[in-house]
Amino acid sequence: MLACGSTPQAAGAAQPAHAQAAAPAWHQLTPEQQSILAPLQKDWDTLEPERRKRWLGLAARYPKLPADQQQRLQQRMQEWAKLTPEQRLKARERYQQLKNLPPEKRQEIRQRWHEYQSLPEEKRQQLREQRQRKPEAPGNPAPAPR
Amino acid sequence: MNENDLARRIVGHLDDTLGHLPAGTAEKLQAARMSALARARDGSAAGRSPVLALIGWGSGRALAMRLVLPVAIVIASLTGLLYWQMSPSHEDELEAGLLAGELPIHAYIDPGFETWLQDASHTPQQQ
Repeated sequence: MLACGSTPQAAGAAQPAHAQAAAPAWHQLTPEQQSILAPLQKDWDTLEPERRKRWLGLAARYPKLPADQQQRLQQRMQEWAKLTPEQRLKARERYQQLKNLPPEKRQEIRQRWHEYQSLPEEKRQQLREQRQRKPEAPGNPAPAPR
Repeated sequence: MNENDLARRIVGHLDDTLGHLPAGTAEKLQAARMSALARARDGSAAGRSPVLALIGWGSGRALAMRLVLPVAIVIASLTGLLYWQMSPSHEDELEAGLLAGELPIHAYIDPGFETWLQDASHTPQQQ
């Protein structure tokens, strides 16, 4: 286990006591929290206090999830932690829009994702560049399959 | 979060959820409306009640209450919904759902996938 709270450069060590209580250092987590958040152990003490609080919120929900969802959540922790705040905001907005769609539409989008994944990388890159040339209009709703 | 972000999120939440009020909230709003309409129908009789007149509860005041109460219920319900949507608990739930969902994170931020979804002319058979 990392004892990052004892290192001067650790974010947790530089904070006042009340901030540490709200966003604890890795060594202050319970064994259960450490087990759930294990993929983040290396970076935990460098995460912003706000992000640490959010991860603790997710860890509290984790035991209630089915096993397959628990596995996915843990696998994606590192990827999510490495996104920029803007990317996380965009992903959350898209997810919420998708969540509000009828089940058959959501299934269609999942199908389209599999199709997109099966495209050659050059084609996917071409689509990305096409998107960048045509920036999203403000307030544009989430893309939906036609 | 700066002021513009907050304003944008509030507008977004209101837009997203206006048509998705929880069943309980919608029912309460409907019940409040029906109750207000029923009271409005009986309004003149209530306004002339000698007991109400005796305690100074005139028809004007009763009418004001009939209007204020449903409006207050609507405002309280929407405010509660908005606070819940912006609460840390709701954000946690949203992130947990996103991270544990069937689509990978990348699907939500890949601009190529957005183009793929929006352009119906793209099909795997064409590749």
